[in-house]
Amino acid sequence: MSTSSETANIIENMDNLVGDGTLLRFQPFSSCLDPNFWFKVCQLKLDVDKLEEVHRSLIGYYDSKSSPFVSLDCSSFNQEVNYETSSKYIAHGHCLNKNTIDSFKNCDKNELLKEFGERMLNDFRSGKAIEDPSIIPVFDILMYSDLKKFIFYYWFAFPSLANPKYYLTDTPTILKNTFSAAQFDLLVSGFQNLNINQRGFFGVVSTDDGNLKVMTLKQYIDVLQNNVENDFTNYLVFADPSDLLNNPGWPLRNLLYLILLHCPSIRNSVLRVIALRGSPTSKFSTSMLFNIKLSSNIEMGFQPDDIAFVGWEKNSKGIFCPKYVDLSKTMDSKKQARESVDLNLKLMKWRIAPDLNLDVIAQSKCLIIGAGTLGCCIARNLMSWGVRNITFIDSGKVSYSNPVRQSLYKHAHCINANTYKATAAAEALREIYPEINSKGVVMSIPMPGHAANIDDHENINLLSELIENHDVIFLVTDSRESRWLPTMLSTLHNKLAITAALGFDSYLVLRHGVVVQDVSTNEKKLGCYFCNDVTAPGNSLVDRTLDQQCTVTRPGVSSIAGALAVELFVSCIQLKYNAPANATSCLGVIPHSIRGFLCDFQQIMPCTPSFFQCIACSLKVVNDFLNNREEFLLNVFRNPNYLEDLTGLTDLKNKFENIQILELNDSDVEDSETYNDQTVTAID
Amino acid sequence: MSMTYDQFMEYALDFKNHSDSIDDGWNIHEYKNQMTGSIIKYLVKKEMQKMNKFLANPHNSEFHLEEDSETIICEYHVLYNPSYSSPDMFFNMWFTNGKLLSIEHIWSRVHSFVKQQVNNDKWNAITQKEHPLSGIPFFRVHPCKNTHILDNLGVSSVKTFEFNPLTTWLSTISSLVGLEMHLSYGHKNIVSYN
Repeated sequence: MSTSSETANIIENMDNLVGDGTLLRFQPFSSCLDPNFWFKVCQLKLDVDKLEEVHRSLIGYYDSKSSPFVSLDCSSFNQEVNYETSSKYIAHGHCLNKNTIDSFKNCDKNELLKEFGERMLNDFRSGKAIEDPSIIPVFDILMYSDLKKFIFYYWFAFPSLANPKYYLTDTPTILKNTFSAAQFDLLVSGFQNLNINQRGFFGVVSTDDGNLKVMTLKQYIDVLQNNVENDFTNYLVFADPSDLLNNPGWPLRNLLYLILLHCPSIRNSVLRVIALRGSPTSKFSTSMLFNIKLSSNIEMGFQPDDIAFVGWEKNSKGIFCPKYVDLSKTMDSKKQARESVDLNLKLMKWRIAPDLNLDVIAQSKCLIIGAGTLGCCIARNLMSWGVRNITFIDSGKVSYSNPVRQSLYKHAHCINANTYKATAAAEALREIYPEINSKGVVMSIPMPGHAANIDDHENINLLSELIENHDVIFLVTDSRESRWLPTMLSTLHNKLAITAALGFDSYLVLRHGVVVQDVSTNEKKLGCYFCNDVTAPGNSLVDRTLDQQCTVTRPGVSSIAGALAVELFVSCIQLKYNAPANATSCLGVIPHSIRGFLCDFQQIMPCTPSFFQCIACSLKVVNDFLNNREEFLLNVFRNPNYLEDLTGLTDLKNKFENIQILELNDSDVEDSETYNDQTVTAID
Repeated sequence: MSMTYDQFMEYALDFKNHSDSIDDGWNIHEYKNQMTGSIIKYLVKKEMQKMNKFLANPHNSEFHLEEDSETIICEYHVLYNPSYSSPDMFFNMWFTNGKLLSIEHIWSRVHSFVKQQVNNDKWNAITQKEHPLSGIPFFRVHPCKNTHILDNLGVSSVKTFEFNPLTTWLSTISSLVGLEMHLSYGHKNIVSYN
């Protein structure tokens, strides 16, 4: 390793004078990877290599425009040369992808480099590299890829021979000082006639009368080997990636070794080397001429014992150590989806509503009770707003009529009637957006007036817990009575509840649950679904005909109501959960309720206060639940009228009836007093 | 002014020819639509740029220019956008390890001349978007103002103009994306378009 660090430190010791002249130092290659190179690495590892540690051959490219990089992209794995990059030069390499970080760390790096170097040397010895000079600059990559986290550890080696040492006999000069413009033209046209494999390394001979001939490396070596005395000067040419004036690039180091290996007779002579710099268009105008000779010990480096390799790449801090890159941001599809979704929402904030608080939306925990048409629609709209936590409660299974209206289900869910809606909906959300935290709870909501099930009490506890642990409750079941318990529990836990209900061509969306402080009206609470509907919930399913068992509505009604429920929620939490009716947030007015009618496409926004005798949200009911829980629930489920009795609704109703009688008897002044006495008795 | 795809290609070829003559590195790439078999062509340039290291950390409030610079690779794609009937600039920049620059880096690289405007209206200028052909995340100069730019520059579809509108447009937005354009694009042999 020390040798290669010396060699790489080209700049510092440039003037390092030894007896033989100036020590020639080469600018090492650096690696340059295209993002799509890593995409290809992943694909190959997952689909082809799998658990095998494969040595894969690669093609890299470099150029002669002052950038000492070997570039690799996804096409590097193709075995055919990409001719589009004809202005570039080819380097061949191999990639060894290790299976574990340990085998990556623990493998013997010196042995590995030796292995890489020997492979190169075999091609040099056999003469293969003379036939195809594109295998002179070689690279090897030792790699470990963590495909779950999209983290890659890699270490490039550009193997070369540590020995022999080379010296410059004089200061390098610009080629323009030596070659005429006509000779440059001949050089360029000769270069362009070469095959792409031959362009990186070739030879030229020039005569004194200004003629110049380009030849392949093989022809050039033939000339050297025959060693005939001629009246021409020969030059060794290589495409030079170096961006340092007086230092040639790394490929020359291998080339010199190859030449001297095959032409021992010239080890005592001075080699004229042209470093081709620039491009054919610019006629390689910045090319340099180096006069190079070997150290006095000419055999050093060619004896088997002397052979040592250098070439590990330094990392960005200049240390011999593997590089590391975390590409999760680009390659992890889940992260990409998350960023894109967030960006879309942020655009809304940046462009239209600067005060929009997206975090409070994203962090909200939403409970959707009822995973039907409305529930599916609400979940989708919540996701659009970037909500990350959604829980469904439903006891039903997906049936054949569902998928066309309920946007989270497919036909496959219905087959054999074995998929629960709550679980199917939660799963569907994850399929749509993997970053979502969705849960499905299969549970029936205990309903007043329905014969109590054995697990009702358990379900009440579970429901109470779920409501307590969420920030907003969407109440979108299909019957009136199933809304009672969640309404009561939302009030108990002081949670924002949003109820949506559908008629054939009408809809209602309203918010309730939380205590609201409105100083102006002295209003403490906004009316719930039951506040304006003064009968206790009974079993509405009993008398339903078949066609009433499922919701009979115009299909668009649920989409409108579901979307409104979500928008009402989003507007509301921009302010706070307990915003008073018709308060204004950055998104506009936050109504208490929205009622719409499709028959004339009208919508109104009434505000209705809570009713102190409400059977769901009144203090009396909530307190009774808190204080005499068992007895209260038993009564509620057994006796449909219990709630009305408890809240005094029965009295109220009787009073109404009495008022009617009173009116009837209005003309009879004499009897009125007697009647009043009777009523008092009746009430008692 | 809006242009058709054929016009775009005509301008692109002319642009590419000049690039070849000054060795500027622009190429025409082809993308084949697997469904319809149609071929879409676009201009591509890939180059290395040196970036001063202090820019690599946008959170570093201290301003000190280091000698040390880091190489980044920039790839520019000029596509035709059928919706806007205008050229569309997609570009990407990455470090030599293959990691893309973040959008904050990209903003920090915007030429000081236009920096203030971009900072005020970041998302209207440069956003991140999947490349329409390859699907890989790319940065993009938002095309909604392209036809507006061309109009303001006096390029109109009815008038005969004496310069390549693509060159004009590209030179207008090049400072946003760190693209150096050689001055000779401006005074090369005048070609007339109808």
